[in-house]
Amino acid sequence: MVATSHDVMPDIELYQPADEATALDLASRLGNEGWLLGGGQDTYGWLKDRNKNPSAMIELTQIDAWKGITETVDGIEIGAVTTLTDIARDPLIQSRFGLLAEAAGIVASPQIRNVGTLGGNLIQDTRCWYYRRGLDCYRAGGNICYADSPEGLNREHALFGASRCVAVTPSDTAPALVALDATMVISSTSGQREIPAQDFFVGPDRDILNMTVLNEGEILTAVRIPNTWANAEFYFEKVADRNVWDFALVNVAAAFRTSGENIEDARIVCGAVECVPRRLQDVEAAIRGRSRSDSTANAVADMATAGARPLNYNNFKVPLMQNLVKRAIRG
Amino acid sequence: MVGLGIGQGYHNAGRSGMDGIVMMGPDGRLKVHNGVGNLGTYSYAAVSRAAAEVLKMPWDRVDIITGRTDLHLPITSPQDGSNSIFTNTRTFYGAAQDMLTKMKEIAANDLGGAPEDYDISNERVHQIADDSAGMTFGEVAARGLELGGKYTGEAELPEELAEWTQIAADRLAGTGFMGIFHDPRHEGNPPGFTVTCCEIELDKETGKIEIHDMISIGEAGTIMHPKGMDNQLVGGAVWGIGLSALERHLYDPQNGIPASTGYWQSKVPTYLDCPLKIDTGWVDLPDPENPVGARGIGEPSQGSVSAALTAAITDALDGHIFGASPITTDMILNHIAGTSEESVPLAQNNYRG
Repeated sequence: MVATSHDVMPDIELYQPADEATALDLASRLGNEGWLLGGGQDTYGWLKDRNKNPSAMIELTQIDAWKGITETVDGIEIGAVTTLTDIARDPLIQSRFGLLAEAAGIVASPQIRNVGTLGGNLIQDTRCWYYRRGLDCYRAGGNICYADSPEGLNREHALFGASRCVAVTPSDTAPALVALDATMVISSTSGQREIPAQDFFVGPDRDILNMTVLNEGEILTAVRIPNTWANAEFYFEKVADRNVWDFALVNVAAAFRTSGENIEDARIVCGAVECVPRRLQDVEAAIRGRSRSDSTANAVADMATAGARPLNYNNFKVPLMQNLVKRAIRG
Repeated sequence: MVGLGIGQGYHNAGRSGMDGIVMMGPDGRLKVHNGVGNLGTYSYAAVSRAAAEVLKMPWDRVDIITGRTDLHLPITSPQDGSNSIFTNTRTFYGAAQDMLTKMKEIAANDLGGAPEDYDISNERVHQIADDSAGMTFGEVAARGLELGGKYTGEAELPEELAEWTQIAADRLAGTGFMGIFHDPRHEGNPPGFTVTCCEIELDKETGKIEIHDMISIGEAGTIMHPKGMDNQLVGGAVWGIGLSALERHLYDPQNGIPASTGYWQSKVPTYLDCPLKIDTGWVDLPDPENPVGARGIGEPSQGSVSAALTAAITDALDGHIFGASPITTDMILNHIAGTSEESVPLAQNNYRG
């Protein structure tokens, strides 16, 4: 099926629950037919092109309990339907977790950040243009990958973790939250579970149809960030074709704890190079005990992209990723 | 790395051979029947001013009849190819001249003397020797309606009128005092020129460019509307930035479908991809082939920016020429990393069958 634009909304039941219990009950009852609606920025394009056809939508933005930023005993908790603008401008996040403020503040455009939510930015679907086009690829339940083929247009696709599908994570906030050792709070009618951010995202080897561990009936309701990396030295950079309203070609989110000149511990995570945010644990280990300098950065540059398997058109992501990791380490 | 670039833009900026119609009733208001479009540049209004100028009419006494073909509009050129201001000022100037000639004939007929003994001012046609001997435009138009014939479009229409204009004129005939004109083909090709200079900074680690300084100077004859001219030069610059650095048109060779659908994938420049300020200027010398001296500038302004920016990228990369545009982040990074040999550039702006 090829995408077609239509001028009107398809016929969809709209639910606007105002409390948690009703929302979770709806999610449980409607299952895969109940499309979870945050700011709608990864919703209306799908619906307009008729490439996703849910029969119902559950709007989550009226539930106050899932909105806002609160200080907890050991960190902060952010409701999943808090807007990206609110996160980028929050004084507590700015002062303690500037990495996330910066990442949230560079997503898409001001207009999209004003309505787009943290939850939406994290669980948005991949931007692989073949998949978005409505073609019957693996991720859409078919049996082919158009991007990973001799003539595939795969400039934006994966360097790592390909398994039939070569799509990448499009999120700017996801690498920041992995770097901050955040935890995802997932709710359903049967209770709540917490998953480390790093394990929240899944690659095609594990689930080719979904990019997160969310099951039918489950809702991402909050993100908890521990004080582990509070007030650390941070670095975030996103390189995209355009400076506004674009997805990263590669982004990097990094946190450093230093003692004197030396790095005690670090987190370095890259987005848009794999289906999941890619944490560079080898690099993190290799720079411990070294200074944030050119020589340290240059020494680990190749390690940052070890194992990369470029496709036809995305070779440039190898030097780009190396350069961004070097810039993060240099500071 | 800093790069400097200079570019020149050219486009033929005017045509001829169209028709013009102006009408007037006893109220003395000038009605310009105008089929010129509006792509946001308000060309239909700008070209109507030529008629107002000929008849020395205050602008608030002029009505532009436009927007629907059933309002009886003459054939005009499409609003494309930087031609509108040149082509259609010629026709409306001509139609107003026809009305002016007829005004003097009527005045001479009623008040004595020859048409060349008359002039116009303050919406009156009057004797040059004695300006108290005259008629208001409204009185002339009323008299024209009484006389009929060529004064109301019921006789002696220009023979070369386009079929379309003929239909409009037939339907207007007898309803008002008419000025009508067919513009003969002119010699030559009026050029629109721009020159752009720019300075960029290219980040060799990210492949991103930032435009620090940009100035475009236009040569488009007499400038009829300085603000409009500035808008054309700045708007063209944004377009040129897209052509040289961002806007891709891709086709998928596997499925034969366009791969650049929607604004996001087409990479139209955003505010932050453009310099905060784009300086502009112009020469302002009248064009001899146009009665008000004007020529178009829409296309040239993108060409010079596109050329200057491409040259600046080449300059920042020690003279490397990509031989394709847009020059995107991936192309710059592949070149710097020396991976150009093994990495295939995406076939852009064409269908790679």
